[in-house]
Amino acid sequence: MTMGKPLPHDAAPLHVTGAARYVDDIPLPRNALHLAFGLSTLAHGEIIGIDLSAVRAAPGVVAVLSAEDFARAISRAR
Amino acid sequence: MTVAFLLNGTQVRVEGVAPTRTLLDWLREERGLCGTKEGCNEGDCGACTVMVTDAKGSRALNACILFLPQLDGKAVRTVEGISGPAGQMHPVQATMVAHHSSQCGFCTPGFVVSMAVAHLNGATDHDDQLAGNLCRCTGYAPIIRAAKAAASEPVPDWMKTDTLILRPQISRGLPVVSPSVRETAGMGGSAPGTFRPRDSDELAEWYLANPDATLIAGATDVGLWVTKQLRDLAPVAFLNGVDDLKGIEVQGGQLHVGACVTIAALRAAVAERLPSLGELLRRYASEQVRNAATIGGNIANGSPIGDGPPALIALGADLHLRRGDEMRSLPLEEFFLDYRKQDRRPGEFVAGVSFPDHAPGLRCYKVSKRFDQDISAVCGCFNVGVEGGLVMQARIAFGGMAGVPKRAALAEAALVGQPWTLATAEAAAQAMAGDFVPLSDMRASAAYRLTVAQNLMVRYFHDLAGVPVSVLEVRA
Repeated sequence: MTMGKPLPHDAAPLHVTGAARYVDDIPLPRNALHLAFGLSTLAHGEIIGIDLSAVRAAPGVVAVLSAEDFARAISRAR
Repeated sequence: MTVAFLLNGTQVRVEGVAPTRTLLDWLREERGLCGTKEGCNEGDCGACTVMVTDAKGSRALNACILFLPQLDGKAVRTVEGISGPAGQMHPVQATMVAHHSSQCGFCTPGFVVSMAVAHLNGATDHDDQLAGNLCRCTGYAPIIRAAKAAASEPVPDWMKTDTLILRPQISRGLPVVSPSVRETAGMGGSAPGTFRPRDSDELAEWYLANPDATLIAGATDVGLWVTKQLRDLAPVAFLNGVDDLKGIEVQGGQLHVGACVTIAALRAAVAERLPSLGELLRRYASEQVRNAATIGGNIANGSPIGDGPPALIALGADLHLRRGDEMRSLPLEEFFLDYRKQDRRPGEFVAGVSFPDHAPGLRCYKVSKRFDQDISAVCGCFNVGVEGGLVMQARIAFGGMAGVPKRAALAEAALVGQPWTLATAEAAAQAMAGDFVPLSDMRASAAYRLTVAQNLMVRYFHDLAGVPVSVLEVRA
């Protein structure tokens, strides 16, 4: 047995050869869409309005979702 | 644009590639070689370290800020190629396993490549060799133990093949790999506006006609314009083929250094002649960055916190600029006009810099939050000449104290002609308060910077007197 002796890390041979697979190493499916969050630039403030027309008009943008789009799902969950 | 190089011992030709495609993205996305990791994507963490071999040897480079055209005619070895052709482990891989040197394993391939390059080159300054690889879980002690344990093992044969393939080709004057197609502005091709000059004459002529172009040498800063700012840099010129700007010559007591000399090559050249500058360059970024970054880029970039200019200004360096067929020289400090504004005309480029190869009074002090691989909060460089107890000349230059690398004129004036005593040094430190109005930023406050700069003046006096002043020389 190996009591009292250090054991090598199971994945170490994969780590040192570059064979260990991480999430970032999984190939993207063809035509995969990318999602990015647009965050407030203020840590504390009141949202009076959100104008997303420029984002929607940007080339390559497929969908823009804001709280309104989730309102029904959120109220149902409540 | 076509680029040809060896990848893990096999010839590859990349056709129609965008000139600012990074090696890292290409390896991971086109070749499926995902052992090379993307950590910071700005040359800090070393997770993407690869080995690049050319006629001058093998070195570790960060693949995330390395554009494919920079590799033309060279050999690239990734972590997958550090293992043997039959899957045998390299000694550094075996000792990394045996010494429990990986935990999450994400940084490990980068460490393995840096260690394999150091092992190949017989380098045993492990702390310096690995300062450009960051590990956030295991810690460095087991990694350094693994590097030491592997040091006595012989270099595996497969690690020598890149040089064996490249050397005979080069000595016979043959292209290293199939000659690549050269493209110039206006000549069409898949990447119009990309130019790869073979010498400084070609560069001078092309840059005069394309003064808005971006010149890419080591790409350790320009790389971030692409990976972080997502900028389109075209038109661009890649300077890696401009061999006549890579020379270091000693003539008449002066070192003449070409603009495309890397920081690593400069460090080796000054290690014995100007040891204090050599020590400063040891702490210039990291091994991977020093292997790519050029002194010309460091100067032309005009950053107020670059470490090259303050030292070179203290040495009394002359900068050499070229525009078309016209050459001019000026004292280096006169090149820096204002924050990010240099005395460089459209189409004019930094050709080289020259400075004395001997300066016993030169001392360079870098003060940064981390000892290794950090940007200076204050970089103070002192070069005082004393004869018969009197200060005959004084050149003091700082980085991080103004919008440009700048001399401390009032402090210098307080020294010259005075007896070289502690009281004189302290008076110069006082006078320095009038030289600078430093910034407060994330690296240091204005008050801290000025205090440090003044203290460095006093430290310099003690240093020249032979008192141990380095934090590495503290004894209990």
